[in-house]
Amino acid sequence: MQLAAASGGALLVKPDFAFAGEIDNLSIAWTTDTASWDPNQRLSPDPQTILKMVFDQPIDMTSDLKLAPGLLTDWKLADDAMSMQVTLRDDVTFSDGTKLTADDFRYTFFERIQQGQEIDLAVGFGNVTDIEVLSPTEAVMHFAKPFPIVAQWLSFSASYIVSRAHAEKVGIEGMKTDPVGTGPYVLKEYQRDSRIVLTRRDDYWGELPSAKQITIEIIPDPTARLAALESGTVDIATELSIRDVKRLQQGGAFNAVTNPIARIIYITIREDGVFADRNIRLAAHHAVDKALLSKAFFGGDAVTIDQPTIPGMPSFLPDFHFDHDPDKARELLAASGFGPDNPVTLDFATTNGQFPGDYDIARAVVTMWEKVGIKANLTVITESQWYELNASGKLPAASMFVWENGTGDPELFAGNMFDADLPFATYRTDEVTAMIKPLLREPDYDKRIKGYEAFNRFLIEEGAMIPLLQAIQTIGYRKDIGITPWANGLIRPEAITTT
Amino acid sequence: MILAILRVIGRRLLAIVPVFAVVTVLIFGALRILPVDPAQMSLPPSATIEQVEAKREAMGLNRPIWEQYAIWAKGAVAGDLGESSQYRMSTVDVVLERLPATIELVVSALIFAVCVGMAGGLLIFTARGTVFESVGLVVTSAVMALPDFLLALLFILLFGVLIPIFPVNGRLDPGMQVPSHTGFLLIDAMLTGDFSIFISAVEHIALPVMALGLAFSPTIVRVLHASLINTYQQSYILQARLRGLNGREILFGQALKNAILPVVILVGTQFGGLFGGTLLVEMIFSFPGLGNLMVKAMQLADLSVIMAIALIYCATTLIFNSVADALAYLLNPRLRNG
Amino acid sequence: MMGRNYRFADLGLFIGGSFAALVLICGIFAPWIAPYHPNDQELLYILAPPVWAEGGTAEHLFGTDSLGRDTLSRLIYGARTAMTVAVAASFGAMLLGAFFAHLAGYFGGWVDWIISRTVEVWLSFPPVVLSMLLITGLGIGIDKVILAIVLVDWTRFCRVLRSEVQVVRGQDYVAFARLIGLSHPRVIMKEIFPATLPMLITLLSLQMGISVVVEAILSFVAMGVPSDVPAWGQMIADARIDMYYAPWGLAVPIFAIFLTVLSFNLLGDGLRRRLDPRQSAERGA
Repeated sequence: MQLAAASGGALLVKPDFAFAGEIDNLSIAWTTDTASWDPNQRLSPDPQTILKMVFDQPIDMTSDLKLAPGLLTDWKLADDAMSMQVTLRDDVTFSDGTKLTADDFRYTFFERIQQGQEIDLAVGFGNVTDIEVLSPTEAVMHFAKPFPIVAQWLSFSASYIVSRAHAEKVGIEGMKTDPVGTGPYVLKEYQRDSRIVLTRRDDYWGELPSAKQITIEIIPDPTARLAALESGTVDIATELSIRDVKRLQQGGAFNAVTNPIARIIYITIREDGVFADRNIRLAAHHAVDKALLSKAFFGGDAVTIDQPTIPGMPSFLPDFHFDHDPDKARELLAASGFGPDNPVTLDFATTNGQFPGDYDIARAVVTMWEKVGIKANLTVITESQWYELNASGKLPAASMFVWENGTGDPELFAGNMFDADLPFATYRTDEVTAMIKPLLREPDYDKRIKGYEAFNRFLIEEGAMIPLLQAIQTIGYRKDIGITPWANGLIRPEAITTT
Repeated sequence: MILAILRVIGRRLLAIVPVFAVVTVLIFGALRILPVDPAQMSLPPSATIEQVEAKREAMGLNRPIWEQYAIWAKGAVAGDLGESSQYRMSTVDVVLERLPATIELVVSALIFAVCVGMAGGLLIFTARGTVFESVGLVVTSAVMALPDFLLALLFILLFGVLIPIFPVNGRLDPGMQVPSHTGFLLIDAMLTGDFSIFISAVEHIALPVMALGLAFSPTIVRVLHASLINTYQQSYILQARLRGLNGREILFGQALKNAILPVVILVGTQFGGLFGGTLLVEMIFSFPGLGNLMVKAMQLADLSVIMAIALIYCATTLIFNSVADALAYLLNPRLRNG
Repeated sequence: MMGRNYRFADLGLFIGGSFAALVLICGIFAPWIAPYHPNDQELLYILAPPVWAEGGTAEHLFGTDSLGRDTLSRLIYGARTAMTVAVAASFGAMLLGAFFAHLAGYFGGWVDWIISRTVEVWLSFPPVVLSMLLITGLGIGIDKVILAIVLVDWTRFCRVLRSEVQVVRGQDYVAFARLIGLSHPRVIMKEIFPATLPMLITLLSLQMGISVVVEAILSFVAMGVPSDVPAWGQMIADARIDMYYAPWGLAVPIFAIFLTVLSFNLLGDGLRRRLDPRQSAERGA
């Protein structure tokens, strides 16, 4: 993992897939459409599968979240993490026939942001001060502050390389409707929020996926997605309810998998108001029976977590536990003068339908809290309202949140969750800032990870957040198809075969 | 006579303009009360406070509310309805993409409702005096107690869970290509010449149309039934009978023409209800139309899209009222002569 | 023939009235009738089938929902929500609508013009969408739902009653009352209002059904009552996600709404036939 973080090897870590047969048309029922076809525009995780079929990231990721060469064959981070040298492939063309060069790399990760274009890519790469183009395949990135996880960011959402020539031809508005990428598919037909048809380009630089054409049906409604699968309208359907998965697994014509992904479900905590009292924060955590939540809503398949990361990822502490202990919770509350007869009241916000189980989990937690003496007023908000409320300081004391981190790196977990400069932080104290600032610029990999281990432990012992579960992705599919699930939740066409 | 009709329609359309203005002012005002910051929402989450402020200035959100409305109205007349904060694209584009689907759904549902409603009304009327009339009226009452969204859910339960005959989402089977000429899928599908594509389009639109249409039809049944009863009390019916015309000739030849007037008026005035129904029906069937877009826009507080769609609803309701008025004028001999 | 029709109409009135009364009783006495508290979760016993389906027990007659809450109890408490909203909203809409209708129909002239134009503006918009827009601006909560329904549906009362008022106003006895010097308010209350009362009651009954539906729609799209208040619309929204696994969870609240609305419609129809003097005169002829 250390080598992969510091410099990418030319050896491919790409698993080999049995290239059995060709599929004429593969239909996938998906949950949300992409907001636009400008791949750098939004960081939202769900549309990334769609974007990745048309575009490529500089650095790719294996099914178990290890970095692998993508459009970059090699990358080397300087010892002080203030610059990184990259080498690009020389055999890549965009779908309009033009060749990919380091100039496009510079345009994507530096010039677009510098020009002030309103793209989420700025969240990760606002730190770039320049990209020196040494040759059509060599470039050096320079950063304003040490950027130890630049390679992880280059493999992450929204980090797709776009063509400068095309961008300058169609303009920023044109980028949203006219995608030209280096990926294995080109956009053939598009009906917003309804259907996307992609056809494979045979001059793709990498291994050709098995499907000649992919049709993505956008079906936000989970029952409609299941109906589409069962009626044969689609071959693959994602994010089905866990009960439907169990049912499909027992039936004859379909298969279904639950795939634990690099996404965690947790409750955010504010450091002020009701939660200024540490006893109440810890009591709220002790009161939650995470195993019961997993059993009730995920058939027991969702792994419970007590820290802001997932098992197997760097900075995960295998021996650290935070027990479900309602008695301890009541004790802590009593110490602060509260109890089931004299409950502490707080506001609790949740989304409904943003991710599977969100509303159910929130309501179950409300009941668990009630039993120990916390009375929560539950309100339903949308994801964009969450950001708005947080930015204006009006976010309720607690809220349900899902955190996506396709890289597995702790900076993109706890680091981003608690960095007071980013719009995701809800728990802001001087202590947290003091612990996090040095980690954000630590170039030594092992030191950084050790630092995050301590940071994670601190966060939980202070009650700065309540981790609940590692999310699972559910995929239902026709029995004569094989799918290899990806730990970052993407559906990769290369991972789909006919059996 | 053409002149008279044109005058009626003209008068109606002129009346639309002030109504339009009032409705837009009301909705604009109602939406501005929202505790939502459109500037924040249309920027990436990493935007700093200065950037948000700058965006607020650019969007004109700091000016007094009537000035904001004036800006919006001026843009609207020129065809610019602002930018959608969800999609970060022109509102007009986003809305126009969805409009044909909903129009297709509503028109098909209307045709379905009128056919079923007229058939039902006629059947119950011809059965008057027998027990079937009462049965028919009870059935009508029963269907009336099922609003469109309940019917939609029931259809999914029946035809999705129990007996899968119809598809329950979208407009077409996957893999089917339909080049978009008019935007109306049924017409475009016919133009491809491929019958299976047309059938697929019909299958997909069947359940939403039936849910919407069936919910609308009981009122037509009742009004036609009552109207026929009224009409048959007129003297010219008795005269026709004396002249020797049989039941069917009287019904279709004389009575229906005059009895249909209240139905026409009813359809015209209730048309707005059909659009209200599209919101939930489209949501339940994942039908990519305006209704679906409106629900999402309301949940995400995408103000420009809400205003744009509200405008469209208002316009279609008013236009349809006018058309119904004109038709009523055509059909009613008394209005014509008097 | 006529006799049978007469009895049918009365049958409708009886059935409709009884069931409507049943729903009202459920609403009022919910805490005593319901076997469980509607928000009691049993996370290990979710989506249990009703007693008549395979695997159902008498413990939960109608089964449980996705959080293990008893469906029958939620149905009964949902009746309380539905009836609270329906009664408050219907009376509110009736009072507002009747007030303006009597003003418009009685005084005529510019008063009528203003009120009619206002009603026209209101009606140029799909009512459900208007309610949703109001909620988007006002926020959720049972009082906001009631307000949203009142502000939208008063026009229905106003439009229908206005013509009634106009008809009655043209009657001789009203002119007579004015002639002998009775003031406007007295004439309205004593002469006009009693004549419009039957229509008012019918409309009120129909409005109850409409209010139940609107409340269900708003709860369905999560723009209605808060999540800890049981509502039929929310039961439907929750049950829809698992409808392949537990179809009864979806069918039961649908039937609850259907039967409630049907009973209020039958009641309204029956009342109209009974109370409207013109209709009963026709019947006798």
